Amino acid sequence: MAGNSPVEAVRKVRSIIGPLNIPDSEAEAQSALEALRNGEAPTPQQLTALEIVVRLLRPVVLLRNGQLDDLPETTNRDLRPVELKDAWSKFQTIAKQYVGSVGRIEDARSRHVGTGFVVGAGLVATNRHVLAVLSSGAEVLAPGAGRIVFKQEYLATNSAADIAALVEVVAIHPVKDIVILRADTAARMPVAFVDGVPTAGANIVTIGFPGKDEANNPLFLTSVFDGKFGVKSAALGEVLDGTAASDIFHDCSTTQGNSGSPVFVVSTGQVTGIHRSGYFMYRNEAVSSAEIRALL
Amino acid sequence: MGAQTKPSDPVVVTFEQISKAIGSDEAMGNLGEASGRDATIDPVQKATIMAGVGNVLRMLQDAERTAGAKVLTAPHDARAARLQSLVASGEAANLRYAALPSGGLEAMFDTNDWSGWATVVWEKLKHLIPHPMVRPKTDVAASLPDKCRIAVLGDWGTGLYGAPKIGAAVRQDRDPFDLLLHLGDVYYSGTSSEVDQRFLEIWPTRRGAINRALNSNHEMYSGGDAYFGRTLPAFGQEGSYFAYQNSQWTLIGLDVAYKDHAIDDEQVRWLTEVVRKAGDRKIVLFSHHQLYSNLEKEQGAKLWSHPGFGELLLSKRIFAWYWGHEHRCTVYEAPDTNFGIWARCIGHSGMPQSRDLTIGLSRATGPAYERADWRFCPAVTVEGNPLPRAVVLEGRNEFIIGEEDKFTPHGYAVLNIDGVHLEEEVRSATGEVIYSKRLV
Repeated sequence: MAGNSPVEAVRKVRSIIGPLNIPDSEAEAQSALEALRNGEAPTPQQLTALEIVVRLLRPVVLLRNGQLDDLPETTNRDLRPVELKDAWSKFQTIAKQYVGSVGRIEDARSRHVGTGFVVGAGLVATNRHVLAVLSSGAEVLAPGAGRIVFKQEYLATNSAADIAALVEVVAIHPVKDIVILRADTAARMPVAFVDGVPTAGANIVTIGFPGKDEANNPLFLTSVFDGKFGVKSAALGEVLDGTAASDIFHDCSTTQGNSGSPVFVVSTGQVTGIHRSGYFMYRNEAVSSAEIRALL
Repeated sequence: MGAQTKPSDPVVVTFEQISKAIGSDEAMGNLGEASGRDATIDPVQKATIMAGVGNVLRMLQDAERTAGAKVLTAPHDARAARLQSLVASGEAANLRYAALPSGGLEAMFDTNDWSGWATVVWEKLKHLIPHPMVRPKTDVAASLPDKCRIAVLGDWGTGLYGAPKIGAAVRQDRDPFDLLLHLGDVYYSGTSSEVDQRFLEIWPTRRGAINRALNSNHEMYSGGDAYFGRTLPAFGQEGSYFAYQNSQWTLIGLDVAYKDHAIDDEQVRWLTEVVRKAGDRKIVLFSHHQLYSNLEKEQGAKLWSHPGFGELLLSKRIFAWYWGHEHRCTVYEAPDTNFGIWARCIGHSGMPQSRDLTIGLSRATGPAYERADWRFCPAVTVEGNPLPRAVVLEGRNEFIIGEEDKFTPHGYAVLNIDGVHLEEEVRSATGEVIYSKRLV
């Protein structure tokens, strides 16, 4: 592996995908997308147009005081149906009870490693490769090896109550990239799971802590995340074609710090999966929540 | 590690194996690492390559989904083709082979050096510098007898399915041939080993016959090195375009693949001169890409939009044109309105072609169509050019074992020129005449 284990490799791949289809009104953006997919360099003007479309169609919004921000305005651009705006308003309300249950996972030196979320009393789900980083591959948590910070909002300060030590490994999925860790989750509400996986085109949201990952996202990173990395953010996207059984493909904008982010269904506020990896301009991948429930 | 013992049969690269080779976590991660190490290109170029990889995966998946079977599929994309060639070659990987019931060997990919593999893949994904175009040294057409016979095979370079049968049929034909012509495409990307195994080693040479091969998109996907460097010398062919003529006919092979589905100015100047020297002879063109299609979206707009070439076409100086690229056999029942060309697609000599667009067409009626399952394609106007009704070959492909009902038949064409007359035949993969028409 030339010093690059599969676990480390996975950790480094989280990606901005962008919308698969660009609205007819955005011809410049469409040209840029086609050029990129054909392996050709778009013009700077086309790239700018695409950057705007990616940001508006696959928006990332911040959480402040446990509340999801509104979606960014798409003034003079008919890029977002009214139904989606309404669905987002409803989701803001439903998700309020769960957003405090999503935390940033850090290593012993408080470095951002991934994302985790409460799945039961004292139980946190994240990716197995996140555990591998915390444990240097041993998959056993030493005292002080990791912690979860449940707030970590933009321009906000964490209190001691927002931070819990990750104390032990409860369960490791034998095949899928999921582990259950024990932590003091206090009164935080476990997320609600949904059975089955959504159909292609369904609106979903990842909530997590995107890190700055220019290597895997050579374009759009700054504009999509507005330069705000490592803080609690929600990314709106869609389920992609090919989703089946335990694998969910999606295009929510995520980066390496999103490992272990819950994937919410916008219409219900329930969690359909756990984000695990991605490939720039192609697809991100999550594991179905059924696989998490099997560990609980 | 490294290249494997040469497999006994042509190799098929399925989406499942490509997905493992470039879409798996290990591959993705190490490709990202390879990208990060590459200081020779800027972020936009890296982004295009990475976006292109995703598109490759998507296209290969779509192609296999459309095919509905584990058979050789070949999307029109250089990077996809190069990656298929790379996996098939076994370079920088551990490769096993599993026999596919439908024909060929499935490449079963594995590696214990993802970093090394990703470095090779990354290089394949970067832009290639194409082989310089090799042009004919003269615009004087070479001679053909007034009575001559020509075999036309299109998209034949699979080494699989009907292709070997067609090779045998041409080889065993009782009547002599004067010219054996390939309309291009050696899969996946026309690398040296692919050109050797899927084309040159099995091409049906006949004593006394000239062999000619046209350039194609799939051969250019690897930069055209093997086409220009191996095929042309093996065939004694001076350039990628050429002309032959007798007292009545001038036959011209064009290279419309070096510039993808387009033609360059120098070739048009050569063509104009060949046509001028043809005098009153009837002109027949051959190329890989089509001038137009009545079934597919891809059209030859870049061809008819070329000022010089477009002017020649509009002059209605071209009598007939045989092309491939689309893996069907399509025979238009009359010349098209704008260019006055008798157009034929003979691209059905080896690639599996799904029946999805043709199985629902109505059965062609009339004595000319009784020898096979021909279907009528209604007249249609394509980009302002009214095309006449055509017939397209339908039915099952008996040479894709276990998947016969999913794919249209393979075959080839034979042109019989006798003085002022041109009679064309479409033959099955085993050589039976299933359609014939005297065009003049």
